[in-house]
Amino acid sequence: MSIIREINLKGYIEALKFEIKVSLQYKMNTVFYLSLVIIPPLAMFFLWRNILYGGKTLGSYDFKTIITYYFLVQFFVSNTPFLAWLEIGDSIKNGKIDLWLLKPVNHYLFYFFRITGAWVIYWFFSIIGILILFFFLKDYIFLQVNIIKILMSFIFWIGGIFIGFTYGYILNILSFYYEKSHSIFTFSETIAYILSGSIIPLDILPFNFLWNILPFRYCGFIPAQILIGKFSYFQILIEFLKFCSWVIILTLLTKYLWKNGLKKHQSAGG
Amino acid sequence: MLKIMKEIIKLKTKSYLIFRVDILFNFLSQMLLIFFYILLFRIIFLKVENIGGWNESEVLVLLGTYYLLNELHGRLFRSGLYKLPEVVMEQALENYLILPINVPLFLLLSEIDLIGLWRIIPGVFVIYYGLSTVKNLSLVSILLYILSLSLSLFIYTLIMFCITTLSFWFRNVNNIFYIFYDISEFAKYPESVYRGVIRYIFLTFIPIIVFTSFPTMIILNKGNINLLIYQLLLFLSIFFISHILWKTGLKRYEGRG
Repeated sequence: MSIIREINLKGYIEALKFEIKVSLQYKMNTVFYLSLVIIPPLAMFFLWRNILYGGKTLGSYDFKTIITYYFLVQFFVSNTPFLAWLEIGDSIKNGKIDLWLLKPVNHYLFYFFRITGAWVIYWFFSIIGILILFFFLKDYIFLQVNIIKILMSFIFWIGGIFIGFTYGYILNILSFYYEKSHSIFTFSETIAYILSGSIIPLDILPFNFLWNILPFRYCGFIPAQILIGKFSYFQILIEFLKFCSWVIILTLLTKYLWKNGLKKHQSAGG
Repeated sequence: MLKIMKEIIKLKTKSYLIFRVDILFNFLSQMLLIFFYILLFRIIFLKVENIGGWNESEVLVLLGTYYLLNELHGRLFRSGLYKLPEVVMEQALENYLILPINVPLFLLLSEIDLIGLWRIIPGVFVIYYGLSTVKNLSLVSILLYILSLSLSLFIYTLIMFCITTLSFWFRNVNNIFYIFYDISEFAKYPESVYRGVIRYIFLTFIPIIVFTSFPTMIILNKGNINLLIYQLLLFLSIFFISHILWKTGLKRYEGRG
């Protein structure tokens, strides 16, 4: 029965469409959102111009690759929903989750489609914004043009969105077990932001063997590295296998926490 | 006015102490970000001796000043600044206008969070750490730093206030807030990295350089009294502009009924 529920995508697609409509009602928000995608790496541009301009290098980065890296990683990370949907945790605490349990939908998938609908306009404008910026800064940007690698980077980005969302979803359903605090979400988002490689590229970060085990690198560092041509096909394949392992681990963890959480859950009048 | 403020601060303090877990995790988030920026500069300074004439200790003082200013603004004025657009949107400004108070000042200080000022500690610590290697640090330069930082705080807040007054014309101005907060990222880095037109803009229309680099240059003896005079003139100019915007905006305001 549950398989049938998950295969029938019509309800999920409707939820996605609805969220797109909602986003389109606030068109200016999507334009203003560009400031988050563009401004922080622009500040980095001026900093690194003073450090690496004129042929200097840091690790395997020269001026062009580090600037491109920061623009790309900011693009990927700022477009990843690390907190999923805070409403999920709130509904567990205030009991509104009960309404969901009666519906013939998969809660995780439903919210995944909702968040995709809510973000897809932002993704679209961000891509246009960053392409325009790259055009103006073309003398300072290095992007490899191998179409397969561009495609792989795109796939990893989508994968990163899945990982980011699942991480946020897990944080939310922990409300079954612990008292929900918004500052814990802020803290968890900060960790994800840093370990995605937003402040320091993970390969020049001390103890990088440790950060390279974690899944956050797929939310920024890996797709950016592929686009600046640092990964061979073999490395991409290895990363893909590691990524698939994380998908399995996170999916199993989500299912486990959801099922056990429901057992612990006590609804009003129940 | 003072009595009302005292009561507001009392209530804020009580509500703050209820959310102790929030305090801990907000503190950890801030520490983590500061730590990684320090680490970034450590990695950079393994490669270069200075960034545009600023050595590692000086950059740390700058970074600490950035976080200190950000927290001072956040705890003292940020929530109050958000209130004006809300009140204008709800058409409830007349509830304040009939009171015998300075309305912009009251709104600005109505959400003040004095207990939350403990969050300046990481910034202060980074400044202290950066200054520990600086020679010839005098009491006068510390006092001038405090004066310069206060001016930066007021200029920053007044610019944000000018943005809030736009709500009389455009209603929802939250997005402009976020853009300005994003732009303040530029204040993390030494002033000398900005050249040409962008430097001119950051000294005048969007005075990012003035916010953090000026106080830091003063305490490090990298600048002279002219920096303070410039800050004072900028403060007066923006104060004048904000006053005009408030008065003009009020004329456009339409309350309920």
